[in-house]
Order: sequence, then C-alpha cells, then structure tokens
Amino acid sequence: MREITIEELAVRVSQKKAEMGYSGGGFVQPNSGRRRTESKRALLRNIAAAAAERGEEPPFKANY
Amino acid sequence: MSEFYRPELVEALKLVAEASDAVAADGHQRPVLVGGAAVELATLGELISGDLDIVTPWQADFEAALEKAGFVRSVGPGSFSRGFQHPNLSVGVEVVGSTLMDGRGSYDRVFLLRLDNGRAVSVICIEDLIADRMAQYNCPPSYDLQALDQAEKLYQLAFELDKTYLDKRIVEETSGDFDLAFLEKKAYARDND
Repeated sequence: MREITIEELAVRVSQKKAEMGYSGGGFVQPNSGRRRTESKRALLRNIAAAAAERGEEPPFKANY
Repeated sequence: MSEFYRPELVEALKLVAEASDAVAADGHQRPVLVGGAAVELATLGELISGDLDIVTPWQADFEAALEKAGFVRSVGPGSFSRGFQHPNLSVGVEVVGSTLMDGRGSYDRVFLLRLDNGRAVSVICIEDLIADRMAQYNCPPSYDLQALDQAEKLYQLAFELDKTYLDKRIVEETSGDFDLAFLEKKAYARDND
C-alpha cells in the first residue's frame, strides 16, 4: 500500500496550491448540504450544541 | 503535529488511527477515510469537515474501538444519529458504508497516511474522491455546483493522478454523463478566469 506522511502530503499539496496561484483561503466552495442524510444533520447539530456548551464555535459551517 | 492542518482534525485522525489499528489487529482490512475529511486533507484544510466519514464492513468492531479511543455515541434532543462525537473536540466520526463507493472504489489505490505519532489512517485515493464529487454534481435537474467546484479544486491540487483511471471512474460514477475531458475543461476555464 502506498504511504505518505501527513507532513509530506501537506508540502506536496502546498506546492500545487502555489503553482495554481491560490493564496490564502476560501477558494474551495463548502458542501451545499443537499445530500446530507438525516443522521449526518443530527450529528453536526449535536457537535455544534456540544461546542456551544463549552463556549466554543464549531469550526465547520454547515446547513443542518 | 502538522502545522498545515487544524489541530482538531489531526487529533481526530490519531484517534481514528488507533481504532483502525484495533480492527486491523483482528486480521481485518483497515477502515478507510472518505468524504469531506479526505477533501480537507487534499485541499490543505480549505474545506473544513465536521466529521470523518469511514467505510468498513467491520462497523461494530470499529465503533467499539472508537469508544475505547474516547468517542461517544452522538445523542441529541429529538434527533437520531448513527455517528460518534468527541467530548472535547468539535469533530464527529460516522461509518457511512461497508464498501468503498458501494464496491466501485479501488482498495488497491487506498493510501496510508502516516501521522506524527507513528499511527496511520487509510484514505481513499484522489481519483475516487474526485469521481465521488462528480457523482454528487450529477444530480439533474439542479446540478450541485459546489460539488463540481470541489472536484475541480481536487483535480488542480492533485500531485499524482492516474488520468486513465480517473476518466473511467468519472464516467462510471456519472453513468456516462461526464468524463475527465469535461472536468479538465471546467478546471482550466476557472483557472483562466
């Protein structure tokens, strides 16, 4: 099986990102959420609620 | 720890690796990471996923190991989830299937992502990941343009691609409606915007 370290992966993708002229973030559109299952919506809701209880914002933006 | 990826993702990957090791220790094939978290890895964190989607036929074994690693079943008011969440990390894990892309994905092309603690997670190959996004795009009459955008960006950022296999997989996943030529045209058009 092919193997790569997480550092190596990051470096290789970072090089491609630079080659493509992408700098900073926001160049990939987030999921529309249209195909999200009810189970997935519930999971994301529960994670967001648990984060709120800890006084944190969930890192993801999702329509659930 | 990788400075390129958010710490919560890396921590969750380590826990999934631990659970995967437990499954492998029983002589089973390692569970495979698919979906949004695989896209997050391949785009250097440009897409942030709320959970890690896993494919494995040994769901019960994996989920038991996941609980040992610190995840708990996700329970919320009035809603049911098959997933797990971590008490301290804003991240979930869900087994979304028993076979890779319902048997069409390639286990031979799955790669092992080695983490800095020595453990590893098996990850779907970039070609199957792109084909999966193309399948999500191909939902007429209202095509999912976000999924197409992700496919384009994955294609642009891929550093190793088997184009013959990718073409075959896009055709398969879109029932012949699209192919690699279509994706390349879109990716290069956006590139020249």
